Amino acid sequence: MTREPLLRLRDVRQVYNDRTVLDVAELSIDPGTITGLSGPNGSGKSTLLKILSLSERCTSGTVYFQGRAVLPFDAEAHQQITMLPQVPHLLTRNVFNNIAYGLKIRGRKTGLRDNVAAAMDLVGLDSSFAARQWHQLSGGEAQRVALAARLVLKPLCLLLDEPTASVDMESARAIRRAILLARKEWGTTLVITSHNQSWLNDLCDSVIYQYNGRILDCSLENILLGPWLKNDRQEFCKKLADGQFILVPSPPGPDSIAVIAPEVLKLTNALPDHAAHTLTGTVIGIYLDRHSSEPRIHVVCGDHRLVANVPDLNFNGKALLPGQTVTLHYLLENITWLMK
Amino acid sequence: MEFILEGLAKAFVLLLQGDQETYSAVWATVQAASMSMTVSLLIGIPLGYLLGYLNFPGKKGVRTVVDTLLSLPTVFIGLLVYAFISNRGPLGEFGLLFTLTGIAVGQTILALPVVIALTATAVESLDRSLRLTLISLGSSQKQIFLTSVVEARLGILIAAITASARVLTEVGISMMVGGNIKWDTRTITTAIALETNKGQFASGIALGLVLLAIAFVISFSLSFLRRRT
Repeated sequence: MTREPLLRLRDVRQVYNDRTVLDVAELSIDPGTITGLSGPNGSGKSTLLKILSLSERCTSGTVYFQGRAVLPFDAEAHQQITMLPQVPHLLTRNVFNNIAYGLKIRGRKTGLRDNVAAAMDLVGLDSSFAARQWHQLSGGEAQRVALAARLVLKPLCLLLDEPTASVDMESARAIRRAILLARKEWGTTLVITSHNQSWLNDLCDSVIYQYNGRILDCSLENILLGPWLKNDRQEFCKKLADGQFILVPSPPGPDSIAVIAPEVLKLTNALPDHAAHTLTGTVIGIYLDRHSSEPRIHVVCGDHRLVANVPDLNFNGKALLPGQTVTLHYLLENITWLMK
Repeated sequence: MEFILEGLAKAFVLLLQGDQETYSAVWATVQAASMSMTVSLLIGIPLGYLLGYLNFPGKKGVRTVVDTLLSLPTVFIGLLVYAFISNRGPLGEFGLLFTLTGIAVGQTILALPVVIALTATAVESLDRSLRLTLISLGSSQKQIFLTSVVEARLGILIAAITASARVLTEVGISMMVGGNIKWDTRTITTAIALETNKGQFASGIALGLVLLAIAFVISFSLSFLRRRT
């Protein structure tokens, strides 16, 4: 039996001043999962979170919560979904009253002190913080107070917008521990945006990639943006900072985005095929992909970082090491286009 | 100079002896100002909140009108209210002319733009992320309003103080609508005007001192509340 998604978007579009910032045909968030949202600035991550948290009206489309079509600010759903915005805003009152706010407006005043103390403990703040005023906190402490104000509600769904973007390492660790505990203790569904790809990969059950308001069916690795030039042989290409060219098939539009999937970039020491094109770069890291469990190398070619799957970490009889110069090859027909 | 100092000395005597005529004017002022401030705060804070919080077509126009009304001359308000509540006016049947309630109506018109404009400014200057924070914590529209008012409390307090200062110090409305009737609608400011005309500087200065004392109490309360917030 398939589980009903906790949240589902269908044909959701958000337009600001005639500019489409979000265009999602279908998206489901299953209960109890941790979903990561990854993408560059302006890709629509924050807008998607606001729509998922029912805090913003979308231009068109439908949002479903537990199978029921809901409108923004739906009173019942709003009691169960909460979001931590990118810039946490604390009310001009002390830490205790900031954390207790959500409980008070829900009329849940029994055991208020204990609940607030438990939430503070969850985010690693000791009880001495309760009487501190909002302006007496560091950025990391303020973020933890804001998170505690959400966790005290024991939400069914918690959406976090860049929760560790501007906090110290201790706060980042405390935030991670707290949200994982929330899922373990109350089965809270988590949706998290972050620029930190490895942090997301490590924390999340699945990661969704967004670009220009759309959800991609591939990862954001090896994305190539225009403009596309023509070389002497009238082939389309992208010039890299070190003078190399990445050849591409004829682009469908001037602003089209090309993708070379990590699976189609191969390591080589000799051209295996006349149709193959090569790129030379320096290995800067070797990682084991958490989901596919395959080794991947990160290679810098000019000003671009490319990721390639490598089935064997032994290359030419030697172990691959960061700092090593390698040659990658690919076939033109394996490049796919994302329309802009 | 001598007559001013003499007046000042007599003023203290009048106040300390509990001069009934002086205290009647003080009491009339307090009554009229309390009524007008209560009404203008009850109406002005929600309207100011809406003006500062909502974005709607014509908002700038409304804002300009409210800002213009900030400098409404009190004698013009007095004239307008007089015309409406006099026996020949459309509200003549309520018998408000030459009453403290009539003065309070005029003072409300005077204070309302101050409360609306300054509340709107206080709400506009709230952090933009406050709304999203309150929504994300599950606040209803009513709770967003109440919490925003609490967050903008200092600005709203300043609005209330500024409006009170205008109400307490106006002469035009009290004179025209109240009629400066002894023991009844004679307020501090109309009494000062009358006493000065009569050459009774002592009574005038005594009443002026009371006004100063009220202003001091208000500004002391403001700085106390500012410290607390």
